[in-house]
Amino acid sequence: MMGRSAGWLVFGGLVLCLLVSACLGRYAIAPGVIARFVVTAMGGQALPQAQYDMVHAILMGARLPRIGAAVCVGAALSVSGATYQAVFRNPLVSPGLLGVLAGAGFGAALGIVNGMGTTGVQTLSFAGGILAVSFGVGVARMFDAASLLMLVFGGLISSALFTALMSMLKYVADPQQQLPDIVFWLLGSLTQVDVLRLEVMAVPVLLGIVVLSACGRMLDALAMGDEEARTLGVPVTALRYGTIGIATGLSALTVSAVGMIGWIGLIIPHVARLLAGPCNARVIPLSAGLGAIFLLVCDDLARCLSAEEIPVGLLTDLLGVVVFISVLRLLRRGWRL
Amino acid sequence: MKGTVLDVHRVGLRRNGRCVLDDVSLSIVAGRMTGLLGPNGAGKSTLLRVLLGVLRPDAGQVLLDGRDLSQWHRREVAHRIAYVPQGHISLFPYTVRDVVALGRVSYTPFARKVGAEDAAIVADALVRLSIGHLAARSYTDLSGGERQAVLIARALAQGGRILVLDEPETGLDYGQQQRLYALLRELADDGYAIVATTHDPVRAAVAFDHALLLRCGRVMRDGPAAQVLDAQGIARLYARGPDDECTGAASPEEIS
Amino acid sequence: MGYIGIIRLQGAGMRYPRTWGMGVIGAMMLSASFVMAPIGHAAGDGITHGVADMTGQVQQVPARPGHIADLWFAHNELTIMLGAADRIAVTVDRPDTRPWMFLVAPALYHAIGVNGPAVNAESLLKAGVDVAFVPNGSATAAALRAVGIPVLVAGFTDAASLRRSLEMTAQVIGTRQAQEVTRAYETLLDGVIHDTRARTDALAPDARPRVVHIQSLHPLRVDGAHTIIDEWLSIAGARNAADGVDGNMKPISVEQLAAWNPDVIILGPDAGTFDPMADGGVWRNITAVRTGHVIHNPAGVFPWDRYGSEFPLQVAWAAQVLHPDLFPATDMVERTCAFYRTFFHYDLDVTQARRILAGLPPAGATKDGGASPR
Repeated sequence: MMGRSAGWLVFGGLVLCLLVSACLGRYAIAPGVIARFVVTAMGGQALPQAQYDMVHAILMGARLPRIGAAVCVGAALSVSGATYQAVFRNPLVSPGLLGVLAGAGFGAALGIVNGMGTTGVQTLSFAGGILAVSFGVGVARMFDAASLLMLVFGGLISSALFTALMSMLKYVADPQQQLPDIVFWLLGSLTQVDVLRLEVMAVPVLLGIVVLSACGRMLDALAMGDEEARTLGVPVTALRYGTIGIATGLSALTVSAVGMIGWIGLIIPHVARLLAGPCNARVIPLSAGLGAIFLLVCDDLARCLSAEEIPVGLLTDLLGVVVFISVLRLLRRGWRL
Repeated sequence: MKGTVLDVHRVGLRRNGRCVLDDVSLSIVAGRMTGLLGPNGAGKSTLLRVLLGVLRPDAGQVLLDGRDLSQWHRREVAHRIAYVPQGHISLFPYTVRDVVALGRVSYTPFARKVGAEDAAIVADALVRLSIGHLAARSYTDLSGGERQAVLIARALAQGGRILVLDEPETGLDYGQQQRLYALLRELADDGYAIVATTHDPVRAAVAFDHALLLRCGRVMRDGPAAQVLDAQGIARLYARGPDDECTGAASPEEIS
Repeated sequence: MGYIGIIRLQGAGMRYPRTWGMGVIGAMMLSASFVMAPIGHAAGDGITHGVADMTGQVQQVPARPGHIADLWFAHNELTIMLGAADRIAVTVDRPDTRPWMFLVAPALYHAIGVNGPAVNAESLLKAGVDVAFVPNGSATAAALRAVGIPVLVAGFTDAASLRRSLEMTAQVIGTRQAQEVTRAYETLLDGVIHDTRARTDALAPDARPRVVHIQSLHPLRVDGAHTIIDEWLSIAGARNAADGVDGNMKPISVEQLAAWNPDVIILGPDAGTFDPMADGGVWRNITAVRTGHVIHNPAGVFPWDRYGSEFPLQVAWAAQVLHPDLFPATDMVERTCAFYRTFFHYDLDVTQARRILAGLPPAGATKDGGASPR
C-alpha cells in the first residue's frame, strides 16, 4: 500500500489529466497554439485577435465548463459512495442506495414533461433526489429509527416508488420531443453544464468533500459497529444522518446537472482503499481525486471519440466494469469474501 | 485512585412490557475485578450497556464520579470508561494500529492523521499487550485471541480507568485465558476498575475479587467472589427453574 | 402517371444513383401493387384486397375502411391530404403540438387521441378500427394483427419512400379522389425536385454552402447523413456540414459545431430559443452566426423539415433561402397558399402563410411540447 505517497500520485495524475483534457477536443487546437494563447492572455502578443477570440471561446466556453464539471461530479459521486460504504459498513453500496438517483430521475422527467428549461429541470431533479431520500429515511424511521437494515429497506421502497413514477412520466411524455429528452438525460451527459451551473455546483461540492473528509476518523469508528462507536465517544446518530445528508446532497446536486452517471460511486472508493488502506480520512479525499480523474477520462472519450456525442453514462458503466473486474482480484485479498 | 467510580443505584429497565432489570444495585470500585454472572437471559448484557451509558434505565440511576451518567457528554464518558466487546468481524482491512488508534477518536475526532501524542499512547498500549509485532498486520487476518488483545489495547488507549469487558474468555484456549486474567489482574493492581461478564463460574471464583449474580434481572447475590461462587451458589444460579419464572416468554433471548 | 415521374427522375438519376435506384424499385412495386389490387374476395361487405406495405408484406385490407388508426405522427398528414381526415378514428397527433393540422382538418377533433404508438389493441377494436398505420419498427403491429386489425407499416425516410407510402395509403383509402390527389402530388413533387435540381446541380462544390440543421438546442442535436434532411439540403444546393454524423437527432458538443464551422445554420421548429451569446461566445465565432445566417425552418401542418408531405414546399423554400440569386422569382407565400388550397382544401390568408413560414403556430395558439414561443 502506498499510503502517504498515494495522495501526491493522484494529485499529480489529476493535474496531468486536466492539462491533457484542455488540449483535447473536436476543434483541433495545437498545443503550441494553446501555449501562445496563455502567453497572450497574460499580456503578451503571441496570437492575432481573431484567433485569440476563437481559442478563448473554445477553451473557456466549451471545454472548461465540461472539464470543471467532470472534476466536480466525479469527485462528488466518489466521495458520496465512499461515505455510504462507510456508514452502511458495506463495500457493495452505491450512492443510489437510498433512492437519490431514482428521485433525481423523476424530478428531471417531471421538468421535461412540463416543458421547463434546463434550469427548471435541474432544480426539480435536485428536489426530487432530496425528496426520495427523505421519503426513504422517513419510512425507515416509522418502523425502527436505529436500524441500518430498515434504512436500506426504506431506500429500496423509495427507489421503487420514484422509478415507477418516472416510468409513468415516460409514458405520458410526448414521444417525439420529450421522451428522447428524458432518455438522453437518463444516459448521462456533461453537455448541459455551463459556467454558471459549474459555479453553483463547485462550492457546495468542495465544502461537502472537506466536511466528509474531516469526519473520516469518526466514520472509521462507526464501521466497527454502533455500540462500539458510541463507547468510543462518537455521536452515532448525528454522524450517520449528518454524513448521509451531506453525501446525498452531493449526489443530488451533481446528478441533477448531468444525469444518471453510475458506477463511479461504487468502484472508485475500492480503488482508493487499495491504494491507501481503509482509513476514511484518507479514502475520502483520495476517492475525490480518483473520481475526478475517472470521469475526466470518460468525458474526454465521450466528446472526442466521434462527431456524435457518446452519453458519458455509457462510458462510465463500460469502463467501470472493466476497472472493477481487473481490480477485483486485488480486492479479495483484504476482505473476508 | 481508590474508591467507588461507578455506582449503580436501584436500576430498572423494561422492554416490550417485560422486566429486564429490576432493582439492581452495584458498586464498581477502582482496583477491583468485578464479575457479572448469570444464566442466559438474566440481563447481563443489558446491565453492561447501562454501565456504559449506551442504554438509559427506566428507574434508578448510574453515577459516574458522583454525577448521573445521563448528564455526562458522550465524549467525556469515553474518556473514563472503555468497552471491550466480544469481538467483531470488520469487513474493511484496518491495520492493528488503526484499530487501536480509534481509541483516541474522542480526543481528536477531526484529525486527518494520528498526532504524535496519540501515536505514542497507541504504541504504549501495543507494548503493554505484547502485540507490537502485529502493529502493521491487518485486523481481519488475526486469530481470536490476537483480536481480543487488540481490542483491549484500544480500550487502554482510550485513557479511561474503567474497563468493561463482555465475556472476554470466549473463543480463547486455556493458555490464552490464563494470560488474559493475568493481564486483567495486573491492570486492577495498577488501579483500573475492571467489570466483566463471564460464563465460567469456577474460574471466576478464583480470578475475580467481587461477583454479582443475576437471575431474571434481579440480583441474587453480591459479594466477594470466593464466597458467592461456592458450589451451592453456582448450583442455585444455574438451576433450571419453571418456564415462566422470569414472568414472560418461555426462554427469553438476551435483549439487545 | 408514376412513369412520367420515373422518366424525369432518370435524367436526374444519373447523378444521384441512389434516388434513381429507389425510383426504379418504387416503379416496380407500384406496378406490382396495381396488378395485385383486383385480387381479392368477390361479393359483399367483406371485400378485402391485398396491399403491400413499406416492408413489402402484403396485408389484406377492406375496400373502403371507415375507421383508420393513424399511429405515426408523420402519416396523419398524408391521410388528411388524401381526403380521409374524417375517417381517422384514432390519432397520435395532438392539437397542442400540431395546431395547424387541427386547424386545416378539424375532423381530427372527433378522433380519439392516444399517446405514442404503443396502443391497447382492445381500445382500437372498441373504436371500430378496421385498418392501422404504424411507423417503422413498431412494437404494436403484432398485437394489433393478433386481434384481426390489418396493420400497414407506413414509415418513410426520404422522398422516394414518401411517394411509396403515399401511394400505398391512397390504395388503402380506395377512393378516386385519393388516386387523383396522389397523381397531382407526385407531379408537383417531381416537378419541384426537377426544377430545383436543374439549377443547383450545376453548382460547383465550393458554391454549395455548408449547412448544419439543428433539431434541438438543449440538448444540442443535429441531423446527419442518410436522412430526409440530408436529401432536401442536397437538392437545394447545399452540403450537410455535419460530417461524421449519421442519422437523425444525434447529440453533439458545441465544440464539434465550431469545428464544422457551417456557413448556414437552420433551426428546426422545435429547437428552442437561440442565444448567440451562449457557451462563452463559441456560437458568436461560428461563420453562420457571425454573418447572420441563422434561419428558422418553416412548420405547418407538420414540420416542413422532417417527414411531412409539405416536402415540396421545403425544397422550394430551402433553395430560395440558400441561393436567392438562382431562385429570384419564388414567392413562398403564394406557393404555400396554393399548396394548402390544393391539397388541404384550406384557404390561408397571407398572415397565416407568413406565420407558417416563420415556424410559428396559428395566432392565438401556443405550442407546447418543448418549444418556447418566440
